[in-house]
Amino acid sequence: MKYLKKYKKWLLILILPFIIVMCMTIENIIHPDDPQVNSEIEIGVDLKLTAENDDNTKMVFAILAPKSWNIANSAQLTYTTSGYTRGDVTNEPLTLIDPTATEPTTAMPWSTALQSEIGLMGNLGPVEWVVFESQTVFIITDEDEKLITAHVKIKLRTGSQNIKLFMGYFFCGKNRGMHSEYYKANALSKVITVTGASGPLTDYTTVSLTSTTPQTFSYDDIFALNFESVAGDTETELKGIDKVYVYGKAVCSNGSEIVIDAISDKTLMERLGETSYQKYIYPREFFNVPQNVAITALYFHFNNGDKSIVVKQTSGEDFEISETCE
Amino acid sequence: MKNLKLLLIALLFIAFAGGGCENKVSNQMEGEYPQNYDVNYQIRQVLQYDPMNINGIDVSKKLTFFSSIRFTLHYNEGKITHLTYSNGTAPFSPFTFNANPEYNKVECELNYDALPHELRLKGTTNVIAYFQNGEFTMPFQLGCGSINYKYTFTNVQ
Repeated sequence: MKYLKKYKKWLLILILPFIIVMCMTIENIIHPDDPQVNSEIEIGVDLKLTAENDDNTKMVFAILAPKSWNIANSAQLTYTTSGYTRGDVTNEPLTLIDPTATEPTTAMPWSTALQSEIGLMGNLGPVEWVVFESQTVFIITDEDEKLITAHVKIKLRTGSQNIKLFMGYFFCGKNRGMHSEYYKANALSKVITVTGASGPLTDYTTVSLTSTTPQTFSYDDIFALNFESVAGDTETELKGIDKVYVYGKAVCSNGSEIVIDAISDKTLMERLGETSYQKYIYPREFFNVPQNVAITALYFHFNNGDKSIVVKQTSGEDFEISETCE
Repeated sequence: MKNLKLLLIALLFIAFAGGGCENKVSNQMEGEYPQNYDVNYQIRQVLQYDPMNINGIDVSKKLTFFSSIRFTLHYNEGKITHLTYSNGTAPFSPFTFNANPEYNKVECELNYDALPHELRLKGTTNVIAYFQNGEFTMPFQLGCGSINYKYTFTNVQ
């Protein structure tokens, strides 16, 4: 007891920062039940602010979404507050933050600062932080403001691809940004799966058997075809095989199909790790596509050289690698 | 003490006189250095930039055709006057202004007014390469607007 009294002051000093920094949280994310490609969807995000510090600031709110959705142009955001003693805000639009505005603690543009400090929240594909701000400047004094909640309503248009990703959300005061006394982990993500297109599902949340580098490319670009012999719970028969070869088929605009089914350096994949293989190609050169003929689709599967082991999709079909550049 | 001062002055004089001799030798060497010569370049690096890899990935060793690309600068009286560019077996051109990427000893000039310095086809605004930090680079795009490529050349004997 004597020790407790002695160290009470120090304990208070140690605990205080945790009380202060936990003042802003994302409480809930509401995604639509069955979001479809090329359609407008509505998302709700509930925020909570417990005032522990004084500040006069606009609210910054950011969304992590696929680049292909281009939500900077398509999204409409409004928010409504509850508990703000100087007068609640109702359905006020959140507008895009000036791209030259910088986050105060990093001095980087807001989008870059969020990517640097929070990252891509586990996404393995091309996503971007798009940052919005309130019009209202909130005057926060911890004597007056005990608990403010806000509901942000987001309307945005999905892209043309089936996609699964971690949609991310973030908020803070514009004035202090990610200052450690005002901000701590005000970011939360939730998986969204958008379907309805005829193509395969692009999954940004897990490593899949096949992928490309870069993720976004056209058939007229150089890209790497990546193959994982083990991905998640899926273990293929090529696990542990040293030399893995790729079979490729190009479907062309003139209706022809060009197949590359050779066991040679041309088709030998580079082994990057225990279960990772990669082959860089420039498709026109790899398939020897004639001038004035375009590639309309690419299909691949993988084998061990003598073809006693061949890995295709579980359906038995080749993996389709679709160009994703829009 | 006075003798010591004189000795020091004499030593300094000899030292500077020695430096002068070295300059003479150096001038002689410059005079003999060839003024008309070629410098050959080949690709050192091919960086591919995309929004997820903003620092670029070097793909120069991933595709064999990059090693066949050649680039020669022809110097006349110590100045770059002509260039030769051979695309080798590369299936695309880094130049948007010429469908045929081959140049056989065409006139060119290095524009020092631009930063980075521009190696242009003479009398045109067509930039073949940029000269920066002692290296020639060629930026280009292929299919997707969000993907950029850059050749960096190194000189070869």
